[in-house]
Amino acid sequence: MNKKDGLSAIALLAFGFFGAVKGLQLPLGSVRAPDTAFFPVVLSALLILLSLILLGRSFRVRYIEQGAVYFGKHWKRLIVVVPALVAYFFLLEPVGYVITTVAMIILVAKLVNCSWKEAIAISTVCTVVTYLLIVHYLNGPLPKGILPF
Amino acid sequence: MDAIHGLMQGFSVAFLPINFLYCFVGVLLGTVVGVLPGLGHSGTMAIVLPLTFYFNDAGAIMLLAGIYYGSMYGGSTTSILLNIPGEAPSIVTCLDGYQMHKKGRGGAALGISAIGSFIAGTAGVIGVTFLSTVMVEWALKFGPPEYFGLVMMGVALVSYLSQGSLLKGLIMAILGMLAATVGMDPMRGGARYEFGTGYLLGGLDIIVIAMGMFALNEILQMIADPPGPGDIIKPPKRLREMLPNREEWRQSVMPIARGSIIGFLIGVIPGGGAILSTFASYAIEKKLSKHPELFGTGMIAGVAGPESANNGASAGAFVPLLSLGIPSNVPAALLLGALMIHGIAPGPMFMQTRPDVFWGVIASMYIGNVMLLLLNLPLIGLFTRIAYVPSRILIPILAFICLTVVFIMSYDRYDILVMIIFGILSLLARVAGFQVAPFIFGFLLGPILETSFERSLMISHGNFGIFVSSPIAASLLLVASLVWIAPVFSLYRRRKSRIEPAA
Repeated sequence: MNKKDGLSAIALLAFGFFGAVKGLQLPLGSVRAPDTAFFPVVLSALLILLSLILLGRSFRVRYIEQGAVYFGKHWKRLIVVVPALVAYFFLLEPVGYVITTVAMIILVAKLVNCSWKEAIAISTVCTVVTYLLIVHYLNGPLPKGILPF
Repeated sequence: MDAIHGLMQGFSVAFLPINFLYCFVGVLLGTVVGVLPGLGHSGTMAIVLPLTFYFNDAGAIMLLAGIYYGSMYGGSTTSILLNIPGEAPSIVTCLDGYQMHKKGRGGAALGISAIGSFIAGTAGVIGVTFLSTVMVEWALKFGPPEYFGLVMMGVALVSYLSQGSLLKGLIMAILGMLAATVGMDPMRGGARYEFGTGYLLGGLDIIVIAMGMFALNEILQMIADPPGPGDIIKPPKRLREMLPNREEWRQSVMPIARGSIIGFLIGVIPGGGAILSTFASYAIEKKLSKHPELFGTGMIAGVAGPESANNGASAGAFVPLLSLGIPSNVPAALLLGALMIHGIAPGPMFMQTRPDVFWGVIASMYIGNVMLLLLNLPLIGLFTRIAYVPSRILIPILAFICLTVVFIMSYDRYDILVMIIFGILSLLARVAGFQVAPFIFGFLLGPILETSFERSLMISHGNFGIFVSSPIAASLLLVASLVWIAPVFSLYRRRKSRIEPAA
C-alpha cells in the first residue's frame, strides 16, 4: 500500500467532511436556486469523492510518484524551525519586533551553519535597519514590545 | 483601440523615467533570481508584490512582469556553467548546455541562450500585442455561461498538465476553491467558515497564501536541503567568446524559431508553463535532428530550442491574463493578484478601462527584453559570481525579508500565522506528491466559477440548458468534463489490468 497517498487521502477525507458539516449549518438552497452554502458543500462533496478514489488507488501496488519532493538530508532542522515560527507569531507583539526578529534570524542562521559572528551580524543589521527605517522614517507601527524605543 | 495605437500609448507610459526604472529593477531582479538556485521567480514575486503597493499601477506590474520573464534568462546561466538549474524551466538546458561548457563552448551556449531568449521573448510580445486584441474582442461576447465553461476547462487543464497525477491536481484545485469560500459569500454577503473571527471574515489573502506557499516554502526547503555550490568548474574568464560560430548559428536558427512558437502556444494554454514548453521543445528538437543520438553530449539545438521556448511561454502567459483575466500559470496568477490590488479589474474591459496599464506593460516587455539581452551578454560574469554567494548567508536574509514583508502588509500578525500554516501545508503537500499550482488556480478562479454559475442560473431562471446554449460554452464544458471524468476511468482500467495477469 502506498502510505503517503493513503494518509493524504484520509486527511483530505476528514477535511472534506469538516467542510461539508460546517457548510451545512448555513442555508443550502437548491440546485436551481443556490444559497450561501451551496458551492462550499458541493466542493466538499467532490473532495470527499476524490479522496475516496485516492484512498482506493493507494491500495494498489506501490508506484513511483512523479513530481514528489523529498525532504532534504537536514529535515530535522524543520522540527526546530516550525515551532520557532509559531513562537515568533505569539511573541511578536508582547516582546517587540526587534528582539523576536533578531532571535528568529539568529536561529535560522545557526541552523544553516553560519558562524556566531555571521548570524549576529546578519540578524542585527537587517532588523535594526528595517526597524529604524519603518518606525522612525515611515511611521509604521512595528510593535515596540519591551524595548523603550 | 487597435494594436499599433495602443502600443504607442504604451511606450509613452513605459518610457516615463520612473517606469523605466521599475522595469529595469524587475528584469535585474529576475536575472539574479534566475541565477540563484533555491529561490524561484514565484517566491520572489510573492515577496515583492506587497512592496509594490505604493508604486503607480503600471510601474508595479512592469516590475513584477520583469521578474518573471527576466528569470527565464538568468536560469540558463548556472545550468550551463555549473550544471545546476537556477530555475525549473532551465533543467533541460543542463543536459546539453553543461556538456558544451565542458567542451569549452560554454560561452557560445550562454550567447545562444541569451539571443534565443531575446528573439523568442520579443516575438512572444508581438504575439501578445496582436493576439490580445483579438481575444479581447472575442471575450466581450462571453457571458456567465461561457465564463463558467472557461473556468471549468482552465482548472481542468491546469490539473491535467501539472506534474503528478491528475487526481491529485483536481484535489488541490478543489481545496483552493474551498479556501476561497472562506469569508463572505460574493453574491449574498453571508459569512462562511469564519469561525467567529473577524480576520477570516475578510477572507484569505492571496498574497499571504502565495508568500507561504512559495516564499516560505522555498526557504523551508532550503533549510532542509541547502543548495550547494556544486562542481565548481570556474566559469571561463574570457567570455568574449560569447558568440557562437557560424556552424552553431546554422544549427540554432530553426530550433529558436520552433521553440519560440511552441513556447508561446503552450504558454497561452492554462496549465502549460515554461517547464512544459522546455520539455516539449527538447523532445521536438531531438526528434527532428539528424543526430538524435548526440543529444545530451552538447548539441546546441538542445540549448537554443528550450531556452527560446521558455521565454516564448512566459510571453504567451500574458495573453489570457491581459485579455480574459484568466492566468495560465502561477506567475500570471500572482500578476492577477497584483492587478486586483491596484484596483484594476482584469478581463476584457481591462484594455478599455486602463489602456495605460494594459499597453504600458506590453510595451515594457519589449524594452525589458532589450535590457535583458544587454545584461546577459556582457555582464554574464557578474551574475555568475552571484551564484557563489554561500546559501548559509542567503537563507537567513530571505527568511528575514519574508517575515517582515508579510507583516508590514497590514500590520496584522495573523497574516504571519496564515503564511506559516500555508507554508507548512504546501511543504507537506509537495512531499506527498501534490502540486501547488492547481491550488492557486482554484483559489483565484473559484469565485468566478461560483458567480458565473449562479448568474447563469438567474438568467435562465433555473434552466441548466444555458450552460450548453452557445457553441463556445458547450465546447468548453465538453473539454472540461473529459478531464474531470478521467480519474474514474483510470480507477476502472487499473482494476481490469490487475485481474488479467492473474488469469
